[in-house]
Amino acid sequence: MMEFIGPALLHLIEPLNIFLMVVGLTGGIIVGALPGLTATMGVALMVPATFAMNPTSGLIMLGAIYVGAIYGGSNSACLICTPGTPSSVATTFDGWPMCQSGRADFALYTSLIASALGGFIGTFGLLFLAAPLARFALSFGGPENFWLCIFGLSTIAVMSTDNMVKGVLSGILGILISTIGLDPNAGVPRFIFGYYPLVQGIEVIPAMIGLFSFSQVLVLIGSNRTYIAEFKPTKGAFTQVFKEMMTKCKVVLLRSSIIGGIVGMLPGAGGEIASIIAYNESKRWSKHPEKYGTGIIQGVVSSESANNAVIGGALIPMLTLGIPGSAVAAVILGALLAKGIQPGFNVFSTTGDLAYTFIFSQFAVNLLMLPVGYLLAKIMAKLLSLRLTFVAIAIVMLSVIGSYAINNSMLDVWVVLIFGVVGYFASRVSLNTGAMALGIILGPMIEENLGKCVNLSSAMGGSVFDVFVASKISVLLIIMTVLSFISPFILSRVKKKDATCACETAQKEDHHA
Amino acid sequence: MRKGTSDLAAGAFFTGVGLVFLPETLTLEGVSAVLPELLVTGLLIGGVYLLALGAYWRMKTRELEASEPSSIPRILIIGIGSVGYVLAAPVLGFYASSFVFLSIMAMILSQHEGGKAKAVLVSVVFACIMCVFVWSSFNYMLSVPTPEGILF
Repeated sequence: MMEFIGPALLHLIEPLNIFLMVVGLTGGIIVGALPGLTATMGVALMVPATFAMNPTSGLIMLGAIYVGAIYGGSNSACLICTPGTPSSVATTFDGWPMCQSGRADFALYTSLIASALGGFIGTFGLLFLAAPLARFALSFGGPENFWLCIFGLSTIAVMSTDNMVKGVLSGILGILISTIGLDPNAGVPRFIFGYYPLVQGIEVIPAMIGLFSFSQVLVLIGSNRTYIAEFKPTKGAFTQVFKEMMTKCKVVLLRSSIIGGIVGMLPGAGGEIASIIAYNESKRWSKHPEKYGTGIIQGVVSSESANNAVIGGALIPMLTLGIPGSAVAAVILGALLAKGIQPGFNVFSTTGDLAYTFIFSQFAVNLLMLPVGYLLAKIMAKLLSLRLTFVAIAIVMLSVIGSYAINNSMLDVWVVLIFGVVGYFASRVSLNTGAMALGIILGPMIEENLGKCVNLSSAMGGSVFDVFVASKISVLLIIMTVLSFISPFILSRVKKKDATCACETAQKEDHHA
Repeated sequence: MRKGTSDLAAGAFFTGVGLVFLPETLTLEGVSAVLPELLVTGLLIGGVYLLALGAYWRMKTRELEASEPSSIPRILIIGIGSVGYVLAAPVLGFYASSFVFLSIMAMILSQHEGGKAKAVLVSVVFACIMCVFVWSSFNYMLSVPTPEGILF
């Protein structure tokens, strides 16, 4: 390893590579911030351009776009409550309330620093723990992935403590929507209601754009406000955020990044699941869980550090096993293969120069993201000084082009409008759009892995429940899921008891006085 | 909104969705039916529960729930405008329909200071800037496809 570090670091200080990192980051952040344009799309679009470059420079640029796009999604999540990428859904929970309360700069800087540090920790895992973590990821089969998704769904219990029934029903509705189209196990078309294009199913991204973006347009236009939010930049906001993160959010940051790294390694599970699980865990272990969702930096830190740590995690099985942990990793894998580089455990010895340059470039990209993201955040915050009507109408146009671009299908555009109305209705009757989004995201994975469990049990001639508890990882995930569902009740009961005790003590003291 | 009304509306919505999905769910077989059956049953039970809860609260109290006031006419304008825009995009072409949508919506929904002529001018300039920005970034730089029609 040591013999590759020197040349790798030398590659990183080449002016061309620094330039490509800055360009890749800037492009990635802009692509990520635009609803509908994903990290996968950004990286895939740039793959042909890298063919003209040497393998090292090409990979460095693709890695920079990936990092930039995942972070970029948080900008629109904080400023207009529209997650630019599905992995920023959880960022809206606290980022948008921060923006509404006039602290948009705090939200943007928090997401920037958390993303950079999360990315750093994820890359650290990639550098030092690649081989053992890759073996651990291989032990995840159908039952383990099924329980991981159910564990992810248990977030609903924490997200909707004020109205659990509506939260759970919103989640159920989301999963039901995800069953529209071809059944992933039997290939049978379901719930297409005689309209053949529905066989393709409901795409996650248009549904997200509708639920969070178009519904927000309706809310904003209906509000009669002049601007999206009152905003006056605070002097020294960046330093304040950094200090607060280093004092109050160390544990949240580390825990969320570890969650992101582990989830990122699992094929199919990406930033959207990692950020939601990390948010859920931060809220659960917080001394003030009631403050989550009101605009606290811990909420943004947990979501953003997790989704950027996913990158390092997703690259572990890609580099060591040739199994991509995410769609973007799959595109980068394609680029690697096109350059004649064969991933596997030998990638660190046979093409060690390239592999270590790529890994070290991830550190450099996360470091460079601080100045690049800082400048772009300042520019993007200007959005708040534009008139609300213009911003809202522009969002409609961007939503249309963003959703159409996914499949070149007008059906996806109609999905945006329909889900926008559903999202607006949900906001009026206190339904949980976050839970609905979670259901839509996790639904296909749940069903696919449930199908695997059912088929496995048929092959073994036993019950599906035997398959569910066959491995230690599954049992651990089941226990964590049960704890996750019941912990909000236990915690609220303990708090009520504490409050009653405190009240009684105060009454007794008054009486004595 | 009166207390209980939101539960009634949510209950009716979930029950309605459950009933729409129910007939086809009953025809599914094997592994394809497992998840939809569970979900539709859950949705119907939950929907009926919310309906009952809403009815109970409406009978019990006349309290109002706190909610932010919103302008329904403005929401209807942008809603209907967006539907028209999506219908027009594959016929007229994305950029032509976008220009029309942006300028009309900006004219109607913005509270302009100054006369009507200024409002028209600001709206048209805004529509032009947006169309050029989207065309240059999406079409020219990223080669993202857009719906094509008889115009641009």
